[in-house]
Amino acid sequence: MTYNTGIVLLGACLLGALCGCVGSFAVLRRRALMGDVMAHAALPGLPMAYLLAGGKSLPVLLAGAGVSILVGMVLFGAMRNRTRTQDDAAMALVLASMFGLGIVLLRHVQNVSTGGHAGLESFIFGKTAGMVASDVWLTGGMALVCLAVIALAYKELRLVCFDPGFASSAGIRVGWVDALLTGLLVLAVVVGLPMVGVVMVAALTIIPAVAARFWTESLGPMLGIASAFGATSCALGVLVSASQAGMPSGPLIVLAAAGLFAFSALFAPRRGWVARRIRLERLRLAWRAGRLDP
Amino acid sequence: MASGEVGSLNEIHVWTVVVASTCSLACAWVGVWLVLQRVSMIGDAISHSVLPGLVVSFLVFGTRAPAPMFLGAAVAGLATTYLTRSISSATGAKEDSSMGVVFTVLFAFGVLLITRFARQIDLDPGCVLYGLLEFVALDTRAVLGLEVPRVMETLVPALILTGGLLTLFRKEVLLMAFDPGLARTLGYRPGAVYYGLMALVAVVTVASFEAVGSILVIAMLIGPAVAANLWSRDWRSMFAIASVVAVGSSVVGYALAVATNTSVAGMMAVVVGFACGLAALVSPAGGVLQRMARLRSAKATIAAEDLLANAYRDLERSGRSHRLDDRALVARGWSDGANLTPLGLTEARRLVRGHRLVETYLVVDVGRSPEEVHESAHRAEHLLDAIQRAELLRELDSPHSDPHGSPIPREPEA
Repeated sequence: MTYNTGIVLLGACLLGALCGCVGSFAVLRRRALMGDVMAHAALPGLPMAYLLAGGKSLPVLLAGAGVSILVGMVLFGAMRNRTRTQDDAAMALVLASMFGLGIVLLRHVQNVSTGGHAGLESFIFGKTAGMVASDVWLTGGMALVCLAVIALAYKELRLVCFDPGFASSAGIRVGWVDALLTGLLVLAVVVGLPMVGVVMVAALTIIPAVAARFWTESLGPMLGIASAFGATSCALGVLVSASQAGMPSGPLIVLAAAGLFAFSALFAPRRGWVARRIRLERLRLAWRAGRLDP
Repeated sequence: MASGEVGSLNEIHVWTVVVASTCSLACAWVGVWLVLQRVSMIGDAISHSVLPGLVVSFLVFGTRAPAPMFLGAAVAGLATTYLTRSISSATGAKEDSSMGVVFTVLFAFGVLLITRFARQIDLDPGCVLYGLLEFVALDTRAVLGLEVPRVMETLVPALILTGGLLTLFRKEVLLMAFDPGLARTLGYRPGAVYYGLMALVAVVTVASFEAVGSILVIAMLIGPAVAANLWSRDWRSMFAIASVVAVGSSVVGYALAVATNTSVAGMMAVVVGFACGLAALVSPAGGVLQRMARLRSAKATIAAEDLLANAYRDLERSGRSHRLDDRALVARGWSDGANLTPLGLTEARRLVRGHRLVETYLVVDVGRSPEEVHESAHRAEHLLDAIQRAELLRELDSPHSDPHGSPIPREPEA
């Protein structure tokens, strides 16, 4: 393993842990698909930042993506609050229209610039080959900051996710906590863009969280397991992508997460398929033997 | 030779617009139901997850013929809905989370297959996302002596299938969208209708796949329906409006894309988004501008009514007679207080009568003290009509004065 691969691996693990952690809260608060909308809405920001700032340094591009996501969220909010459009229709519309705008702008960048734009398309499916140490320090640093924020606001986030009514009667401003959660989700998506790509970064916030749900009933362990799953899938995806030329890392990371998910769905104690099967069989045997109270 | 080239260029323009319109029409018709049933994001999920179905079916059958492609897509679409429900019931996870798991994994699998078998499939992962509408008109087949783009072979059957099924099962789908409870009571099978609709989404997505790709197809599915829903509440006119928006955004999107030399499907998605924004602003059924105008006119009405009622009370106190001038509500001559014309007097009587009846009602029937009822009556006076005033009068046994001792004016003739 070269020094660069090691650095990228470290960044990938931090990213996976962050997405698993933020995703758990998002899934519990029923915002799972918001991450998908955000990720697609980020696309126009990349060519826009490239055109305005005239370069493709990662901080500038990611800032553009962040701004673009915020524009998408404002449009979504306006659609939902000011018109009678339903949540899910507004989500789908913002997702697809912003993505369309992104494609239009990407094509425009291809037309106007003479080379040097080649990096932008790799944001669609994710690519780790071109990442340098400074990029990793940036994404890794952002991931660490987010994790610290989660640790600080842990109590509030937990209350709002499980019992928003009680949280607000206990003096917690649910609106602010939701805004914090949205902000964290935006950051997780933005951090994930270079490695996992626009199309699949949302999967990294959803799959580890739902997989962790098979193993535990309480939040603390769920966060730990989801983070571990996220980090493992990112690391696996990055390693395979580095060894296979031309393989985008995004789908590989998602499939690694899918593997962990399938393992959890089958073999988790109590909730897994095997455990439930065994329980059912035991029940059936007990019933046949007449040892079961009706 | 030169004229032949111009002719073929025109032909390409026309055929591209025809392909775009056909595919967005089919999408829009299905989309109206998705939006009415509030399952738009399931359309998003299915449009992603048909990809592996498509690729596997191509790898197995080795052909792009419509039948195997539709089959693979329908299987993938149904698998998505089925797996989503199974994961939800196993984990207790919300339906949207399990949907997020299923479609992203299937999509990732499809993208990987395409990357791996790129040479056999001749599709690059990029056009999976945003289609190749620019090039569909170049790949033609002769049908009845006419050179027709190959994708029409799948698009036209898909359009006919969609239109046919939605017409045939109009009643069932309509009932499902507006009253699933009643549908169940009447013995229809909501599950069957639901899965049928999902299979239709899969078929339409696959047919549109080469033209607009799997993400931009969501704009064609949901956008026209959202715009139509903003414009009308009647499902028939929703269909008409969605069709117009679909075809219109295909034409406008294509023209803009050619003018700016960018992706046609991307531009169509942007135009659809703008159409929805426009509908949200200027719709005559609850658009932002209309609501603003209504609010402003309500504010102006209330201010004018308050002015009239105050002028009436002023007149009542001073005992002056009113000047006759029926062109205005409040006559000129403010030096000794306002004066009312007959028209104004009628309006003012109506308002003050309502105000004092409500005050009486609040004191006599509700039991509040006379000092605190003015504010409530002040708000209610703008909302009462003649029938409500008559009902109040009956309820209160025709009082002559309000709790403050002021006479209640008689009801003016209509």
